[in-house]
This record gives sequence, structure tokens and C-alpha cells, in this order.
Amino acid sequence: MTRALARLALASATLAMSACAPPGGPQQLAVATTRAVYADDLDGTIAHFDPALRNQVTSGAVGQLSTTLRALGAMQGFTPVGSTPAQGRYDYRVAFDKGQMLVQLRLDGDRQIAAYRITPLAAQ
Amino acid sequence: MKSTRTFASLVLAATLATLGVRPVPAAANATGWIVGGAAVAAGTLVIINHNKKVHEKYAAYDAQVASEQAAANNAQAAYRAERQAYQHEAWLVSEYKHEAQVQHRMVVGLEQQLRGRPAHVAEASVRGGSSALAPDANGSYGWGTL
Repeated sequence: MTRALARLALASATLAMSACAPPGGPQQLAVATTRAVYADDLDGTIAHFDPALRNQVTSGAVGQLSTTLRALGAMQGFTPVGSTPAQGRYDYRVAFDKGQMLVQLRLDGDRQIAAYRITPLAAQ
Repeated sequence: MKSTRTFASLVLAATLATLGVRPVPAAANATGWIVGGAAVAAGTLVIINHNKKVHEKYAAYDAQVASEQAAANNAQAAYRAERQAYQHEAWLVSEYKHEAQVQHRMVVGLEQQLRGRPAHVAEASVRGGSSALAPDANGSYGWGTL
């Protein structure tokens, strides 16, 4: 009985912690940014970039990346493939209808994206 | 008409000449009355002629007045045309003003949109907005260094 209560309390605490987690988690940042790139949305692409990275972005480059991603068809989902939180590094594999991409992030101390890279992956 | 007038004048002149040369006898009283009546008729004709002249002058005057009124009417018509042209131009000016106001609102709206966007967005959109994205050494595309 006591053990069951402890498990329930732990589950509740875990649920509460996940509910209280900041909305801008690394995967959410990756998803939001990649979807914005896919949609050729400049504002959405740089919405979570830090000021230094924003200055590097051009609408033409976003459009170029958007074309590359759309060539792979519809976007399916994100799968975490590695992370180094101490360095703010997070990698995700993004599946498309006709291929997949590796999305890599580096977050700064303010949890803003300091680097965003997309690498084509060989078809499996 | 003119011959009648001339004849009446001659009658009047002859009557006056006759009256001036010798006095009318009493026996000729009836004749005198006839001559006098002719003179009165002649005088009436003269008066009538004078009146006609007056009426002709009045007619000419009226014609002149009518002509001036016509000219005045034309001037008024010209004035009306000018006024209508002015009103059209005033309407055009108001349309230009309205157009300028609309364009001003559009400019203000665009400025507000630009101010609402991060400065780097507007800057990046304008500056190098079409620059190509080259892959790095690992073949990845994007911005920043991992």
C-alpha cells in the first residue's frame, strides 16, 4: 500500500514536472524552426534564434532550404538521435516521405538557438 | 407707307402756307374746318411718326438690351461652365487628397509593420535577401557553428 502510494506520488511529481517544463524545449525548438523553414517562413525560422544568428539569415537562404526539404515530401516526425546538454547540443532525425534529414541545434545560455544545421542523410 | 407720310407732310405744309398767306373768310368757314381737320390729321401723323421713331428707337434699344442680355446670358453660361470646371477640379483635388491620405496610411502601416518586426528581419530581408546557402565541410546547411 505504501509502495503504491509512493509510486503514485512519483508519477504525479513526474507529470507535474513535465507539465511545468518550459515550452521551448530543444525538440520543440527544432520542430518549430524546421517547420518554419519547410514553410519558407522567415519570421518563424528566426523566432528562436539568438541575435547573432538572426543576422546571418536571409529570406533567400530560407527559401533555398525550404525547397530542399520539400523535395523530400511531407514531414513525418522528429526522433532524438543524440544530445550533449552541457554544450547545448541536440540532434534529431527528421523523417520525410522520400528521405530523412539530420537537424542539429546548439542552444546558448538563454535557451535560444545559436546554431541550426540540416544535413541530408542517406536513405535507409 | 413712306408716300403716305410724304403726302401728309405736303398737306400740312400747304395748309400752313395757305393760313399764313390770307385769312379765311367767314363763308369759307366750313372749308376752313376741313383744312383745319386735315392739319390736325397731319399733325397726328407727325406725332404718330414721331412715336414710331420713338418706338423704333425703343425697339433698337430693346434689341440692344436683348443682345446684351444674350451676351450676359452667354457670360453666365460661361461662368456656369467655369464654375462647373472649378467644381470638377476641386473634386479632383479632393480625390487627390483622399488618395494621398490612403497612401499615407499604407506607408504608416508598412512602417509600423517594419517596426514591429525585429530589426534584423527587415535588414536581412532587404540586405542579401536572395543570397544562396552553401553547405559546410560536413555537407550541412544552415546557420551558425555547432
